[in-house]
Amino acid sequence: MSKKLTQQFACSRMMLPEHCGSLRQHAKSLMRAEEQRWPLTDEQLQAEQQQLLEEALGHKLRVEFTLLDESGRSSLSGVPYRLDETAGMIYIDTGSGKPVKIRAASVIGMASYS
Amino acid sequence: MNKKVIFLADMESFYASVETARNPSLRGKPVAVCGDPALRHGIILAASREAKALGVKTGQPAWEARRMCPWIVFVHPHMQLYIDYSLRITAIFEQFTDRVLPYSIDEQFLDLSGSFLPGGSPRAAALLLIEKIWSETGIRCRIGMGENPLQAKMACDCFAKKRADLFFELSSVNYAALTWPLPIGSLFGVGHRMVRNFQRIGVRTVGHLAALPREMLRRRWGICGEVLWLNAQGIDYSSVEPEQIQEQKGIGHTATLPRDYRKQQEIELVLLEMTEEVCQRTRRHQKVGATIHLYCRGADFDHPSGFSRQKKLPEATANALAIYPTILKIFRQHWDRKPLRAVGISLSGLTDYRQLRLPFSARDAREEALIRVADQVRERFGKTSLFRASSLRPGAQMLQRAGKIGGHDA
Repeated sequence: MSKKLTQQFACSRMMLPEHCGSLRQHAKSLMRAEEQRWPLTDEQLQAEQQQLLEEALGHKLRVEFTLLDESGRSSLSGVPYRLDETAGMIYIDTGSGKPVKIRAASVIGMASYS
Repeated sequence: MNKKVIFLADMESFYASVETARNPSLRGKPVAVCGDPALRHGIILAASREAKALGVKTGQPAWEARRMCPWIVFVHPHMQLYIDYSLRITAIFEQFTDRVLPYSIDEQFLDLSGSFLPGGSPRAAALLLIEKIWSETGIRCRIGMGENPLQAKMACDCFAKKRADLFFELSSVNYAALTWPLPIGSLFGVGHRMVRNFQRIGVRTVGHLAALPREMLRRRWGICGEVLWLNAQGIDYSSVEPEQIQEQKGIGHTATLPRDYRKQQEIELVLLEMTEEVCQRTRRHQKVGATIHLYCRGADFDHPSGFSRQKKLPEATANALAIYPTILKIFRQHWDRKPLRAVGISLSGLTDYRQLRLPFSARDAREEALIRVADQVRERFGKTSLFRASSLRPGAQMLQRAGKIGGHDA
């Protein structure tokens, strides 16, 4: 179907390039803010993630962690081998030969790797 | 299936309203925003409600407005300020829905289908929006509502603007009854030329058009005729997708010249400057274009002349010196040597710059490095920090236009 038929307003939009540029900037800042926003998790999800972490620690399973800190979202996959509850740190073997430790509080999601 | 709830919010006399909001001493006075008459920008870009009540119209020459209303207050445009206000309004709309699509600087579509409607109904939500825009920006907003963007636009343009509550709703149920008696020029997409075309075949109202066979319109005016027929029926397949703003099909630049240009040398100089500007903007977006389009409008309003032609380039590029020979070729082939009032250049068929990195010669590499450095200098120190010496010659426009937005003061 012709674009004129399906998007007549997109075809006739009158926008100054400077306005488009500002809107793109605005959209990017919204996206950044969205990425920085802490997701809402219910108790059930928290319990599931706790269970997944314990299973991974017990059976040396590979887990994909989604992390959120000041620099935004990132992901990390590896086998968690130690949980320091006092310091709130998770030690992960990423397979690179050098273990990585992450703050448990920065974990916003976990998924089993299988 | 639930009906869609689409709003078209239109800001009343936007530029003039922003000026009044910024300077409350103008409130209640007839205000008109207009450019500099000396540079042929002395036309009314926006007139306040008070000015409109005295007969002042958008597009009218400033001297004519002054004759109609000697105490009218003229204000120079501040384009960046208008963009900032438009963005503030977008941000307010985004508190209600994430599906907001600015259609122009003063019109925005909102899709509230499935969203929480404050006040419990679309009408209550619209009135709340109107109130919020007024209290936060000082601008009167009119809202048309429909089941698709076309109905919302028609509701706003043909009805909401005339109503005291600034809101009107069209739907599939009342669309025909309310819009079919309207003159054909009221239908979205029907311009002056199309009005003449329709009048020649006896179509004077929206209803007359709706009664014609769709096939006939398609045969006569192609897809445009078919879209107008659908508009007459209130049918529109458009959606309100905010990411549409990210798509850029072409980058172009059109300018009204400060006087009629008659000399070939002067016109070609402006074309070079505009090619440079379009290419710079294209490079800033990390794109290259495959088709160049040149538009020239004659100076004589009574005997319209000029042309609009496009040509595919041998290869996609954003290098002005690679494109300029094609521009010159089109210009010299089609210009009838009559004075020109406006020129425009655009580059379309855009692709990502990186996708095209084929092996190039040492000369190309040097040229590219030079362009990159020149762009960096302009980015850092401004458009006028580095330019062609030809821009100092009579007729050149680059220095006058630098720092302006849409040809008006930023």
